[in-house]
Parts: sequence; structure tokens; C-alpha cells
Amino acid sequence: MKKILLLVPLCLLLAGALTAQNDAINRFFTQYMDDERFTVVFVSPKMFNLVSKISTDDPDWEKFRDVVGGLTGLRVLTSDSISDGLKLYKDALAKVPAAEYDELLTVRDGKENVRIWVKDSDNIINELLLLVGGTDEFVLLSLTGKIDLDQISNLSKGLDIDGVKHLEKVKKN
Amino acid sequence: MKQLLVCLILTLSGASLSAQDYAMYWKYKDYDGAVAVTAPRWAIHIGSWFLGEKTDRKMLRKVRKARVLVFEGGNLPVSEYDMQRFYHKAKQRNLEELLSVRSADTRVLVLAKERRRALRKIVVLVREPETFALITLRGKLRYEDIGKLLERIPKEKQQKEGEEEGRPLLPDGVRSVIRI
Repeated sequence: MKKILLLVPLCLLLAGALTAQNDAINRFFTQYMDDERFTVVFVSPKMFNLVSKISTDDPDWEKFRDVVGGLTGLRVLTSDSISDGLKLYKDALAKVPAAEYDELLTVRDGKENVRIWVKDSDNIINELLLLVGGTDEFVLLSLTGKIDLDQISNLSKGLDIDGVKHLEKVKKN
Repeated sequence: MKQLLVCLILTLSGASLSAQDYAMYWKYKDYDGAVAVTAPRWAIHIGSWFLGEKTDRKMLRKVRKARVLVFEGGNLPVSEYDMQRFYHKAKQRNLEELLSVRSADTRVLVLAKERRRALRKIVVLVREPETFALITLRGKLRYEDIGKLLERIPKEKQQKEGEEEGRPLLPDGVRSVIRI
């Protein structure tokens, strides 16, 4: 009985620690979710699940299906007419838990900064985080699920969402 | 008697389970400026006669009921609170969120109910400062049928534009839904 009493709070603490990993990023999304300067897109796991069930004879569609089949969610916070894009970029950068993610890519092109992080377990990438900051541009994208980096650039072709185009950089590098 | 009571409870709970968009429609359909249309199955069936393609006709006939509620021109009676209430209730009642987009003042929410490899209900909510639209489709849209419809869209586009290069992976029909 004592053992169980000890185990329960331990499990709760562990669960809390696990869910807290993404809290900083979640909070960042929540903070700007209702800010009208930003465009917010959320594609639910159900949407990916539905798309992966629709099969056609079109090989392009099948390719797209392969990419989204393993995905469980996409969140995008983007703005292309913002005055403090770089400040926001730095804010978001400070909130990314560096210990949790491996940096995949860093690009600095003029005043535009692009960073991509991935989180993996057992050699399977299960989260990709993209952060873009420029003088008038800001993008924060979080993609979760089983991610194949070779195919991820196909997603940007398939989805016509501002910010997702930056995923093409994964393939180029 | 007990069985009768159970049946009654089940029937009533079933009605309330599927009635979130229905409630919103009935609440606002008689308001000033509302454009409210309910198309029953027979009307949809007649409408399908006018479609040229067999696939389109077949697809349209899978829709059992369509409901549209539109407000235009400011002073929207549907408040943000109504939207949030609808959203929370819908989630409790098996309508699952597929996609949500907010761009400036515009909010788009797409919800769906799925059962046995078919979409049984699709609800689209659009709210802008001067426009509100609620579109509900009920029916049995099988994934195979949606696939057949998707197959046609790029082909049609190719025929129109006569180009192969730069063809997007996602067909235009789907891209337009998630275009910002």
C-alpha cells in the first residue's frame, strides 16, 4: 500500500515533467494566438489521419499521403507584415528548450534568420520546429508525428501555407 | 416499461449529440438579414441532375442534407461567445476539429464526424467582421469517393492550363481550403 502511495505522486511528477517539455513553445503559440498581426493555422491529427486514408491513382497524391501519414499535428504562427519580427524571433529563440531539441539547420540570409530543430527518439524524428525571423517577417512552425526529413519538403509543395515554404530548406541542406 | 424508458433516453441523447450546428442554425435562422437554406436529400438529388460529370453527380448524391446559414453586412448576431460555445460543445459531441485558421479578423473552422471509413458530417464555420457563415453537410462521403473526386481535379487543371510542370502535390480543391 505504501509502495502504491509512493508510486502515484512519482508517476504524476514524471508525467508533469514530460508534458512540460513543450510548454514554452505552447505558451508562445497561445500568447500570440489571438493577436491580429499574426495568422494562425492549426491542422489537427484527425485531418492528417483522414488525408492518409484517401487513396487515389495519382502518384503525386500518394507521395503526399506518405508524407502526411505519420504526422500528428501542424501549428503555424506567421506574420509577414510585422514591425518587430527580429525581437519576436529572439524571444522565441530564448524559449526553445535547447536541451530537448537538436539543431538541424541555421541560415542567416541578410536580415532573415531561419532555424530548424528536431526532436528524435530511437532515430525517429517526432517533432520539427521551425523559426524564422526577419525585419518584417516571423514564422514559428511546429510539426509533430513521424517525420521523414527526405520527404518533408514535399509537404511545403502540398500545403499552401505561408511559412511552410521554409521547410524546403531541409532538403537543400 | 424499463426498456421503453431506456429507449426514450437513448433517443433523446442521440438527438442532442448530433445537434450542435442544428441548434445554432435554428437559433439564428429567423434573425434579420439571415440567409438560411436547408436542402433536403431530394432537392440535392435533383440538383445533381445538372452536373455534367458522373463522379460529381455520384458524390453529390451522397449528401443527405445541406444546411447553410449566412449573415452579411455587419451587426452579426452570432457572437464570439456563441462560436466558442459551439466549438466546445461540438468537441464533446464527436465532431472533430480538422482545421482552424485565423488570419487578421477572419476565422475559419472545419469540423467533421467520421464513422466506418466515411465522413458523416462536415461543418464549416467562417466568421469575419461583417460576415458569418455556417455550412453543414450530412451524408456518407466515403474515402474512395473523395479519392475519385480528387483524382479528377488535377486532370481538369492540366487540361485547362495544358501544363505539366509545377503541378502541386495537393490538388487545388484541397489547397484552396487551406490557402491563407
